[in-house]
Amino acid sequence: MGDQIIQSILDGLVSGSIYGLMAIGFTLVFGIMHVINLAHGELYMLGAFTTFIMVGVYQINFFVAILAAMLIVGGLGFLIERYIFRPLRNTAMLNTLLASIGLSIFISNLVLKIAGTGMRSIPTPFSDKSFTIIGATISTHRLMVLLLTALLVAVLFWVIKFTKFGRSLRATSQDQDASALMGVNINLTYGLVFAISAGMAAMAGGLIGSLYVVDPTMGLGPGLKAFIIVILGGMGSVVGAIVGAFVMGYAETFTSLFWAASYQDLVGYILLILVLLLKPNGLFGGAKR
Amino acid sequence: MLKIENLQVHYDKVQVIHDVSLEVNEGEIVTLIGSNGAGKTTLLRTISGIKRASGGSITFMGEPIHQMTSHKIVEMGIGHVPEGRHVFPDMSVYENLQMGAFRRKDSQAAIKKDLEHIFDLFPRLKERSQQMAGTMSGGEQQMLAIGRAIMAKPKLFLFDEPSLGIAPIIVAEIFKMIKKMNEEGSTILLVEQNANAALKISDRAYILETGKIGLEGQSSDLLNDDRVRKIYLGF
Amino acid sequence: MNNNRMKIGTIIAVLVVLSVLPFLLDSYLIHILNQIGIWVILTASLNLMVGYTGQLSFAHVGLFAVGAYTSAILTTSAGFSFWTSFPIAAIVAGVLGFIIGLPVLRFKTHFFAIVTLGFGEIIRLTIYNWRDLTGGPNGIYNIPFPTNILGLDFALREHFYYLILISAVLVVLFVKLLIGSRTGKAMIAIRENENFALFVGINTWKVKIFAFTLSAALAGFAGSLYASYNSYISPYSFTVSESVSILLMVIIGGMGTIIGPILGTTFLIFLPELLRSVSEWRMVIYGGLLVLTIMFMRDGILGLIKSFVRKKKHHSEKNLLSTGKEEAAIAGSERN
Repeated sequence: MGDQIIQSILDGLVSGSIYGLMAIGFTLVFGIMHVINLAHGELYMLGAFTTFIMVGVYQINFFVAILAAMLIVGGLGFLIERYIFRPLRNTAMLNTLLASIGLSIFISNLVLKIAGTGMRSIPTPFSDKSFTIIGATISTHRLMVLLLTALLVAVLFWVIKFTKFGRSLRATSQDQDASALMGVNINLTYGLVFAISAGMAAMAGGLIGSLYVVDPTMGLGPGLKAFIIVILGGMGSVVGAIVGAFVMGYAETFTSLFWAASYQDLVGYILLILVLLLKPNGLFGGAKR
Repeated sequence: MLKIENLQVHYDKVQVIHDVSLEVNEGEIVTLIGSNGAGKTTLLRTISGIKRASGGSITFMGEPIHQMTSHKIVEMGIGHVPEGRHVFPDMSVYENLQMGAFRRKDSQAAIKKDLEHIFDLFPRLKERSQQMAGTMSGGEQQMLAIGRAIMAKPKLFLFDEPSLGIAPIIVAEIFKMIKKMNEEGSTILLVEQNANAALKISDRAYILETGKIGLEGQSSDLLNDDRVRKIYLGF
Repeated sequence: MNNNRMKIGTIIAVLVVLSVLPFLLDSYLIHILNQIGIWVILTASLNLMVGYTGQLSFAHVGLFAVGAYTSAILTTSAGFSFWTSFPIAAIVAGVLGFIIGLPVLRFKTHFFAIVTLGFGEIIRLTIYNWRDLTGGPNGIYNIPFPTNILGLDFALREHFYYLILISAVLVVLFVKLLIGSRTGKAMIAIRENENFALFVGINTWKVKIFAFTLSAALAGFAGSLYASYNSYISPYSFTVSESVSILLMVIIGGMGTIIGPILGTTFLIFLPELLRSVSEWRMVIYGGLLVLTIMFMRDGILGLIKSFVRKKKHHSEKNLLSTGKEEAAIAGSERN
């Protein structure tokens, strides 16, 4: 049993970091632009497909493919922000929520129609070697996912805290008008934030798609989970998103261990409701804007 | 330097600025006085590009700016100190000042030098340079907002009600600072409810009432005008 | 005055036509109309929350399911007749709505949406896992048709049609009366600007709970009709996908109006029939339609029709989606 628990702890770490990638992108967009993008899961799915096409069809190097997927989906994100979310910017929040739902349905079904329901896998360059840490094993692939995610998050933190661009992001999220008066190009900033968020989702898609399978509906579950995690952790809080991601990851892993795998989805919702009842703005949520 | 002609501004269907014309020449302090809701803040927001005008024109240094985006207008050299300060609450004093220099293209060293200059002007800000701006008092935030605007090295300053909600002693300090900035060459458009103080330090004045210009002239003349004295100076 | 007479005249004409349709159309079309009727009740219930109170709820499919299962269980295992079951189903759903609403209604837009989604899913997963009560993934079979009354044999679609028609008409009428009342005006005021509504003295809490409970009961009623009509229900009919479909129907038709959801439901249920050849693209079209609707025709199909009529007549028609301030003032001045 002890071994199983340690294994679960390691598995939860991997789960949590993957959820974290999704959740951070989601919360960035909400925190800075006050947009809830329920099509986030579809950007993740598109990242997986793009990676699949590059590696599987064009035989491009795995890491390069993921990078390319990030750029391509990021670019798509920029366009989505420009043509769908920008026109809705000063209207009720309900509108962007609904538009993103429509987008989610559109994209996932479009890909379903074009690509069919078959599942695909992405060939990876990782060896079959596994590492053993304190009695638990982790494959090279999963270890790589963990490290890449940690790297990305670290870079993101550094950018937000120490660069001029990061300052403009924080300023814009705190006071859009004042930021504009400082000369910040609000339209460009929002477009870039969305693109970054999309890029992160795409990276998550490429990494997870290569761990499991790639199919058109793979974004629906994670998209919803990202939403739940972000509300759990506090909308707009990057720290909250990370903490929420690990809480979710571990709740699911341990539910699977002690109860049954089929209850994993249920646990997420129950956790959400419990947390919201105690802390209506989520674990790290600040005052309502 | 700044010329506004027949400006019209709407919020949805409601017109808030009716046919306003005014100008600010280089080196002047011009003040715009009016009571609450007269449209003063709307006017400034339209100049800096946050609000779009529905008619008329705004020209700055010969260039029409009424169709420009706000970040271009800042680049052209207009610095707006907004009503209510609007400092970035979860950023430090230092970072707020850095944001002021956002659009500048000169070297890091030059920007740092200007930062030090701001700290000389406002020693209280230097003490609190790492403090979160949201935790400071109204007067301190106002100094920060002014310092932040100075960091951008604008050609024209727009001040929106700098005295609002600030203790009288600090208000006097702030007005002294504004006068000093003008003496050192800055051009200023000052919007104020506190007509007395504003008229005392400015060269010319306009009176804005429900979106229209009521009176205009030399500030010294308006100070002695009976109508102005009764309505705005409380005599 | 003329306008009103024309409206009432049109409505009566429509009702007359609807009443004779079973004699004119074939069985399959009647079947589609029956489904539209049931969904009209369901979308009317969601419209109360989304269109009128401005709260995006994803729990309604769950309440629909609760109504369906309550009715199904009562009529199969407990031997009750439909006529006693449907009020019980509506009440059970209403009570459940009330219980869920109490903690959840204090949340704002997106929180409310996700938490109601959570509850909707919890309901579905509970139904799925509680095999003894609900039959689990197998569902419930052989749900009896309502016992015959007034010479109608409900095993016949054409006869069931009248039950559905009358139910739908009554529900729509009820909603219309509700919207016209003080409470209804309060709901609109909350949708437009909740803070302002509070300011004017409306007890927004009470109004929201009332709206939610009522819409839950209506959804439950629709559920019991659904169960008795289809004779078979399973948890697969009550997923997030259905939640989204109902939402689509409300929005595309034109939310916040009485007729809007009816149009939307008709349109979205007929569409796959009309576009048989492109039925595989159905969901793609729905998604795209939702985005386009939000961006360009926020008042839905009804809005399109109205602006078309307006242009033709050069009239300034009274805007159904008013600023709400009038409603708030009226509702608030006569303290609820």
